[in-house]
Parts: sequence; structure tokens; C-alpha cells
Amino acid sequence: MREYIAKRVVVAVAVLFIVATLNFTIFQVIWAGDPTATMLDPEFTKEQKDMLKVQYGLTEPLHIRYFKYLQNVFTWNFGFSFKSMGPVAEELSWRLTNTILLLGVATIGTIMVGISIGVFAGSRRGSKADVFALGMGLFADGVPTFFIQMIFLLFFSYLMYLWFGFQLFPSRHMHSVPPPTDAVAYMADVAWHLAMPALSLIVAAFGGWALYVRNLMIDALTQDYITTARAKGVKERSVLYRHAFRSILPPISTIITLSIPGIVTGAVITEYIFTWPGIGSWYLSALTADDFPVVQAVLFIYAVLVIICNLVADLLYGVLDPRIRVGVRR
Amino acid sequence: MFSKDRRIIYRRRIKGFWEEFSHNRIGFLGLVLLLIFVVMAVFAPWLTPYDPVVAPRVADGFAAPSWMTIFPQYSEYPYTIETYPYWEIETGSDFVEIFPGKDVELKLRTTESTSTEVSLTSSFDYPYSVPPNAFVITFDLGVQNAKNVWYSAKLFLVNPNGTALRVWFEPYRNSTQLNLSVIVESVDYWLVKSLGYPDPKAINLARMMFADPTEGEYKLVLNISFVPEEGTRLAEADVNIYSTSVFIPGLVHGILGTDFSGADVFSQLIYGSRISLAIGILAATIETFLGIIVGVTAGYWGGTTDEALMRVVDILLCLPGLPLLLTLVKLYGKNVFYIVIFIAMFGWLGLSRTIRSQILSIRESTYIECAVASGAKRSYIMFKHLIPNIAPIAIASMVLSVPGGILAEASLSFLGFGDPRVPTWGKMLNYAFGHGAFENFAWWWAIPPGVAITLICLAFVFMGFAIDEVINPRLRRRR
Amino acid sequence: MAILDVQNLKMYFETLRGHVQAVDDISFKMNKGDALGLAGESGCGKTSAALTILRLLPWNGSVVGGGVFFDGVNILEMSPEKFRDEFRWKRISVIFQGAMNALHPTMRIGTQISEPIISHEGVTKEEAYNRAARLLDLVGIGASRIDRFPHELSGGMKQRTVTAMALACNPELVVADEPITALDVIVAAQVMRVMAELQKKLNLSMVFISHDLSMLAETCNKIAIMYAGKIVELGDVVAIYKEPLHPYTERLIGAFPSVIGEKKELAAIRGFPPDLLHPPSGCRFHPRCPYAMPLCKSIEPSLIETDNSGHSVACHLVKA
Repeated sequence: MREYIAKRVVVAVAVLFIVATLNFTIFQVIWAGDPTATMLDPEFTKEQKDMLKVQYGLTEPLHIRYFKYLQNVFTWNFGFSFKSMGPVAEELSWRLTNTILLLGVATIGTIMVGISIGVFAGSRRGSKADVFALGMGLFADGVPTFFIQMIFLLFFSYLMYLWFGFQLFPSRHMHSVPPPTDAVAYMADVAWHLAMPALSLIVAAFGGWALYVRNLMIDALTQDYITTARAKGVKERSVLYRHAFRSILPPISTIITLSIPGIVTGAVITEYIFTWPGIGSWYLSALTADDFPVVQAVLFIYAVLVIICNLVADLLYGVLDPRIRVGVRR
Repeated sequence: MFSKDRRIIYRRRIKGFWEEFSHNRIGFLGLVLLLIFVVMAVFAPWLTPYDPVVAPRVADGFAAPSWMTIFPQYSEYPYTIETYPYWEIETGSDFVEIFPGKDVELKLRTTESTSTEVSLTSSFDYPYSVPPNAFVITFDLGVQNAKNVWYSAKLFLVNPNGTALRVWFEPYRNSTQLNLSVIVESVDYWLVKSLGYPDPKAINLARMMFADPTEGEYKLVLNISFVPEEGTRLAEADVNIYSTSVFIPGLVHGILGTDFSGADVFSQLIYGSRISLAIGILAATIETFLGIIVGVTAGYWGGTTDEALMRVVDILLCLPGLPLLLTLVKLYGKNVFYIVIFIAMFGWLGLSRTIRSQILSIRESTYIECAVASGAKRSYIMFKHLIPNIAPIAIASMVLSVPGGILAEASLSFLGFGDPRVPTWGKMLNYAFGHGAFENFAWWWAIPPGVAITLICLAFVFMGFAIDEVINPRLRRRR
Repeated sequence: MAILDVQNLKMYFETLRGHVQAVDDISFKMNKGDALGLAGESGCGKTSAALTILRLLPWNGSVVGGGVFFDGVNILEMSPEKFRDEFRWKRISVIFQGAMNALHPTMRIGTQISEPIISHEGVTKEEAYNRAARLLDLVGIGASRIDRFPHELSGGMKQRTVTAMALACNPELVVADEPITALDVIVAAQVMRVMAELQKKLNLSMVFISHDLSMLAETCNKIAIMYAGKIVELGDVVAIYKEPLHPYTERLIGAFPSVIGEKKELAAIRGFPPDLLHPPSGCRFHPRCPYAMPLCKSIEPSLIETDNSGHSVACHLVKA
């Protein structure tokens, strides 16, 4: 087990370096050939530019630049945004929190709903629940998430307003303007704004999980050890959860690993549609406005998020599958 | 290439597969859906007369679909009116010879020094009780051989009630020659301002004019005045008025109405299928190709090659797809071919894993051992044994990866990073989202593209699902 | 009273192409302490018969006739819940074929063994674990391994674990389906020895299902030979081996080479096992029987006792 963890951590760190290098390559080497275009806002004063040049090592040879770059990145110094003229790291922090809030709620909701339906459907093959799970699963693969979100927006915000005179859910931003001052009221306000984006994400994605878990359950229920459990007189409910579901926990953590990149990167569109102030919408506006320091920083953070989540999922798998956790002692 | 026996075996296999597949209701549905879109893509120019790249203005912005007129609140909504009216003489003059018609010719010949005026009139019908939001009147005015005379012209729009609105005038000139292409737009800010309204944005000329009553015969009155110069003996001028057209953009149009600029939505939808199919299938093909190459090499060669390749795949999987895609598009330009390549670059990873594991399990089969034992070269085994065996899985995976490509392109276009020259459904959604389809409740513009994307993806998902069920006996449903 | 009394049991599988007559009218009796061997080729219905008795049939199998009386009670007719709570594992347990897969891969063996004890007898977890530990000692694995996972055990150990598990609730009847088929010869001998010892020690009634006649000869006191869903010969093990009456039994015994004795030609049984969708008319063995008479083709012979020792046979050639 220790070996397993160590290996995974080493790989994660290696990937981090590679991503940072990739970032460096794209923005400082490939883009213009002249890194000043991508690193320094033309609007900065000469003094500011000179200072930054030293900080980034722009006047020095490539390998020193690379080293300086790595140094900056790993000390959480991502430079200065062209648009806001402020340090990228500062804005990054609070935007990152917002994104994690949204994605966290949406992902947990999706997993819970998806797995429950999947287990239920897998145990009653051919029933309505099964057909529903199958249908939702196929649906999730076909319908674009942003379209569902558009429809949510259309219905819950505009249509409701048109017909009933009020919006069930707000259509933009993370909190009302001006935000409530009371802490509890503020959290409730944010939660209210969070509802539609999170709900739309859950609706769009739970089908895929339900289908996958359903297939896993069907597979598990055909195994011999399930027949043994039934022969032992184990109650059917216990067979389902204690025996069948438990045995599919390892592959479930695999699917978490595989879906993290999609969830994280899909947030760009969600944040764009609902004007949620997270790193996704920031990335988009920065990219359109040629605000390169921000773009680099967000790309890097995305990769970091993916790597961390993969690592956690891998470790989870190791914990859940005793063949890895315990190894073999004879 | 294939021996006769092989061909028989393949034909039988394909026939057997087809029998199973066609019984699978979901798969068949998918196939039907796909065929609908293929027909749409291939026969696009015949299905709709409008070219979405040009996107001519066919009606008013946010015009509803024409079949909505079956509902009571839409029954009186106007269709687009585009007429080329016939000018007639309303008031003539002794000194002007007038040749009426669609193209009018006026000849002024006078020796008097008194001013003279002619007016022409043409009419058109507005048979609806709901007023339009705009009108556009165009005509060309040409003056030739104008000697010793000052001339000017005015255009009036007269509604059935007799209320007249001066929509255009040309101040006095005396140039020998004049060529004007006149375009009168009711929404023109300066036009409204010149009529004396301090806040042109609050006024809608068309709605103002086409009221009390709305339905009826409308007239255009063109006044042309000539003032001969002092002390001239002969004043002459040849005036031509031609290419007169009245364009009143309708509030309903076509099968799916119009977008914010008045362009037909249905044609955009139809042509969009071309791009989606092309991009999806092309990207999927490239992805499958790459996935097979990497998967087979890793699976069969094993050892360090396998380790190295899988490490690369692992690392690439950690890269954030959509954000990088966006950066690449920004870097290399919004070109549809590049977009396909970028999409394919990110999409082959999962496939290589699947194929590699399949190869790993086949590798241990006895017949492979036999081949190796009898001295077959690695490449021979790869091409003659391994690849034909993974063909079913590869095909299933290819079909299932098409939706991914279509969705990726749609996402890019939706965010505004698609190829702007190309009409895609994602672009439609982008415009709909950004140009107020929601505020105007133009569901015919916002919803069909999304539904189209969903259906075309579902077509492939259904087919892939059915192929999977046929190939993988464990998932077969008990009938 | 007989602990297990199977009367005219019929079970068919429903398939797309019709009914597969897997178990066709079989009857036998077992007394307490008996070790019954159920022998026959693959596909003769012995496992299906066992699954029917244990009520572990898949969704497409249905009992179409007969009854199974356990200690006088027809266990086929009671509700599934009652059977589950009162009979499963408490009175009847199973040792499945291929123990590798019969054990849950992510549960420790101690948990798996004590699970039925806890649910059927309501004892504390600690008590159940202690009993599980003692069972592991009994089968020779050792209580120290109670926290192991199945993947940490060898094939033979897994088989013995499954055996220990089957004894968890002190059942009266244990059905062992091909217990040693998947094991190599030496380990198989070990496992069989353990099972035989346990059977004698605990006075268990056991049903051994196998195609390995030599193994059955060593461990059982009664044998039922099955062919194509029917019992063709039934009786005391020594009697059947010394004097096989049914032609099939004869050939079956002859098919096993003898280590001692003169070298003989291996006698194979010509032909193939019949298709149970459309079984042969009359005696189901007649297409392969070297002594077949026209009568055999038309009339099915019933299982008749030949003498008082309980030796029955279904063959027209044998006069009662």
C-alpha cells in the first residue's frame, strides 16, 4: 500500500512539473517568440516593465527564464493581470473558492443521485427504474450541458418572470447586488444563486453515473459470491448493499478519476452562462482580452485541480480494494 | 486483398451482426435519426432557399415561425412583404413628359421660368391588422442632361387613413447629372430625428404609421419639383426612377422564424448539420486511428514501450481539455480544420486504453502463441491477427466518440471560439444567448439548435449502445 | 424419518427454444448421517437437482412437479422468506463449485463466515467470530488467518474456507457441488480427507455432486447415478461398484482406469449426451446403449428396487 501511494504521489508531482513546463512553452516560447508580449502588459510604465523583466528574468537566456518561471509558479506568484493591473494570485484565490463551491456541490449531488438510481436500477433489471436509468444515461451522453442550462435559464428565469412575475432562481452572479450583510443571510443568498447552476449540472450528468453504476451492479449480481450470499440466507437488501455494492466501490472510484477533468473544464461554460464569478468565466474573459498572465495561471490551476483529484481518487481506490490495501501475505 | 474464404467469413459475420443490430430497437432508432441528418446535410440546398453564410434579411428580427399563425394571438401577424410597385401619375405637368411604370421616365422641357411639380404615386396592400416593426423603401433616382434647372424630390408614405409622412427628401440641386441610390429605413436614427422627434429611440415609425387602421391600402407619393433658373430660355432634365422596392419585414416567417438580424433560422439549422456531421465523423476517425496505433503498440510490444506510452496518456489525461482547446484556437486561429485536429488530439486517449486492454487479453490466446511459434513476424501478427480482432471494439468506440467531437465543437462555437465563417449549431446558440433570444422569448431560435445537437449525438449514442450490446453478450437483454 | 425425501422432482429451464428438461422425475431418500453421491456426466442434471433442492434456481428455472421433504416438511412450498430464515444455512448449506469465486473478494473471511451466524442465531459479533475461528481450526486453516482476504489464500485453502463457512450454523445437511474439481490431486486429497472427517465427526448428512466416481466411492455410502435428468441407478455404494446393473453405470465405472489389476482397454461410451430440449423417447440412454432393445425406444423404464438392500435401477433388462 505504501508503495502504491508513493508511486502515485511521485507521478502526480512529475505531471505538475510537466504541465508547468508546457505552460511555459506555450506562452513564452511558442506564442510570439517575444515573451514580453505575453508577460508584460504594454500599458505598464517603463519602471514597472523593468521591474517585471527582472522578476521574470525576461532578458536572460532561456534556461534561467524557465527556472525563474518555475520558481514563480511554485511560490504562487502568477504575475499581474493586464486588465486589473493587480496581482493574479489574489483574484485567483477568491475566484477559485467560488468555482470549487459550485463544482463541489454539483459533483456531490450528481454522484449521490446517480449512484442511488444506478444501484436501484441494477437490482431491478427490466423495471421502470432500469429503463429510466438507461434512458437518462443515454440522454446524458447526447444532450449538451450548456443547452440544458440555457433551457433552465429560459424557463426558471425568463418564462417564470413572464408568466408569474417573479424568478424562481436568479439568472446571474453569485449573490444579489448589493449582497446581504448578515452572514447567514449572505450564505442563504449565495445558496439561492447556486441552485440553478448546480441543479442544471446535476440534471445533465446524473444519467451517466446511473448507467455506469447500473451496469456494474448487473455484473456484480451475476457473480458467484452473490449466489453464495443468497444461499447463506442473507436478506436481499443486505445482498444488494453489503455484498454487491461493496464489491463495485473500486471501479466507482475509477470513474470518479476519469470524470474529474470533464467536470472541472466544463465549468468554463457553466460559469459563462450563469455569470458565476469563478476561474472559468475569468479564464474566458481573459483569453478574449489577451490577458495572458491570467490565462496561464488558470490553465495551471486547472491542471493542478485535475491532478489532485486524480490522486485522491487513486488513493481512494487503493483503500477500497483490499487487494491493494493489504497486498498478499502468505 | 482478402482471399475468397475470408470474404465469405466477413460477409457472414456482417450479415449476422446486421440481423442482431436491426432487432435492437434503440440502435435502429439511432440509425434512423442519423439518416435524417445525413439527408439534411446532403440535400441542404434543396431543402431551403437561403444560404446561411450570406444570411439575407428575410423578415424582421425575432420573427416567429409562420405556422404560429394558427394560434389566435398570432393569426394576424404579417408575413414579409416585398413588392416592386408600379408608379402612376397623380399630378402631371404640361412641361413634363411622363412615362409611368415600374421604371418611370420623366422628361422636362420648358421655356417658362415658372416652377413646376409632378407627383407620382404607387400603392401596395397591407392586409394585416398587426403593424410591422419596420419598413424599407429603396429606389434609384437618376438625373441626366439637367440644364438650367434646380430640382428636388420628396417621398411620402401615406397610410389608408390619409396620414402622410415625409420619409425622404432631396434638397434642391442643379447638377447636370445625379445618381442616387436611396434607401429609406424606418429605424434610421437620423430620419426619425429629422422628423422632429427629440428621442428617436423611443419612436417606432412603422408602428406609428401602420395604425388606425393598420389594414388597408398604403400609398407612396413621390413629388419632384423643378425650378428653372432665372432668365433661361430652355430648362431641361431627364429623370429616371427605377428599381423601386418596398420591403416590410414580416413578424412571422418560414418554418423556424428568424434570428435577431432577420435571417432565416431554418436554413441555419439545416446547413449546420453538415458541419456537425463532418466534424464529428472526421474527428472520431482521426481519434480512432491514433487510439489504435498507440493501443496496439502499447499492448503488443509491452515492456518499456507500454509503460512509456501509458505514462504519456496518463499525463495528457490530466490536461484540462476545453481550456487548452480554447487557448489553442486563440493561438492558431479560428479555423474549422484546425479545430477538428485539436479536438482529435484530445479525444484519442480513452480509446487507446480500451484497445490496449483488449490487446493484452488477446495476446495470451493460443492462436497468437501458434503464430509466434511458427515464426510469424510481429508486424504480421499485428496486422493479420490483432487488428481484425479489435475491429468490432474499435468500430463501437469510434461511433461512440462522434458525439464527443460534436459537443466539443459546439462548446467552442458557443463560447465564440468557433470558425465564424461556418454556420454551426453552436454558433446559433452563441448568438441566441448573446443577442437577446431569451429576453425576446424567441424560443424558435434558441431551442432548435440545442435539440438538433442532442438528437444527432443521441443518434450515435444509440447506435453505439446497440453495437455494444450485440458485441458484448453479457449486456444483452433477455427478450 | 428420512432427513431428505425427494419425490418425483421435475424442474425445467425455460429458454427461447423451448423447455429444457433438466431434472425429470427424480426420487431418492436420505437418512441422517448418509453421504449421498450424485454422479454423472456434465449436463446430466446433478447440479440442477441440487440447485432445485436448495431453491437457488436462476430466473428461468421452474419446478413443474414433485416435492422435496426435509425432515418431513415440503421446503419447496414454503414462502421464500420462511425458507430463508429457518432453513438456509441453519439446516441446509452449500459448498459451491469453484470456491475461488464463491467468496466475496473484498470481505475478510472471518466476516463472511460469521455473517450467517449473526443473522440466523442473533449472537454477538464477538461470539460469532470466535465460532468462525474455531471452524477455521477445524478445517485446518488456522484461526490466525481469520482476518485474511480471499485473494491471500491458495486454492485449497479457499475450498476449505468455503467448507468451514458451510458448517457455520451447524446444519443438518450439506450439499457439496464438485468440491475438488478445481483442485490439483494432492490438495484435493487433503480437502476430501477434511470433509470426510468432518462428516463422520459431526454426523452430517451430505450430498456430494461429482463426476469423479473414485472420489465418490471413497467418501459416500450411497450413490445415485444420473443420466439426462433422470436417476438410472440408486443404491449402496459397494453394491453399485461391485455389481453395476445399469449399462450406463457399467460403462461409467469401466471408463475409469484402475491402477491395480490387469491392463484393459479404456472403454469409452460411444455417442454424446442427449439434447435435453428434445430428449430421446423411451429410455434416454437407448441411443448409446449397447444392449438396447426395441422396447427401450418406446417405453421409459422406471426406477425399480431389485432387492431389499435398496438397490434400484431403471432398465428394462433388469428383472425386479
